[in-house]
Amino acid sequence: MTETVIEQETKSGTATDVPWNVVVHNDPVNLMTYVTRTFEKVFGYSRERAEKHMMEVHKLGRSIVWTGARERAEAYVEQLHGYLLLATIEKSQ
Amino acid sequence: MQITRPDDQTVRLSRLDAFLAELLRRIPKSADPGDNAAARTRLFSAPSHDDAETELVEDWREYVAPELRRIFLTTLEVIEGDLPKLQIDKKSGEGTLSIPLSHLESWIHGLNQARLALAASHDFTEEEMERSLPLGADPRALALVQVRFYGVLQELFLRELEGD
Repeated sequence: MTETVIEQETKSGTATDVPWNVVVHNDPVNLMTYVTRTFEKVFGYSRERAEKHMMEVHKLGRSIVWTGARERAEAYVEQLHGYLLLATIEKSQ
Repeated sequence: MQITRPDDQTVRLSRLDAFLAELLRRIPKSADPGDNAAARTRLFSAPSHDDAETELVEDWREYVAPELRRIFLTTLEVIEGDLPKLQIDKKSGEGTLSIPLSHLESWIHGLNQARLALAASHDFTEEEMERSLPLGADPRALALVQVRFYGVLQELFLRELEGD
């Protein structure tokens, strides 16, 4: 019984410990300045880092803007949706 | 159109002709997706593209989307509260609107919402977004003008906040 509990905890721990990416996708309507400012506000990024991610979104169609725990990734996606950016979570490779 | 700072708490839009004044009045209605499926899908996008995440997507629709809807409505209420202050000079016909600096974030968000809802509901392509459509009876051409004018306003307001 004890062993089963340990196994369940191990599985649970593995599932939640997988790093998750917050991905922002390109949108031809959102202004570049608006997207940059949103990254600064949501993640507290410097202007330089925010612009780097904005340009990735613009040129490559998407940018991984944050990686970490799932719960926090979901919270960031919710914030980004509040700013009307196209954002999703995905498992980190 | 001119944008000025009469004091450190106010942003003023002036020299608004009748057309631009009308476009301002249309912001709240344009930002409302109504029953338009494309606009609703754009404003309330999915949190994952992974087919294995159906539970997350359903939970998002049930719990997060209503909260986002509330935030979007609150934003538009700020704009709706400012718009009646739009004054039209009887002699020149030009409009002036003073916006409290503290409302500028709501305006930036509301303008963005209107642009996204208009672009989605009129299904503008990226190519169309970059060229002019002849203004005539085509409602898509007017919507494109709105998207562009609101974009200019967004940029101006963002600059005002940057300089603050």
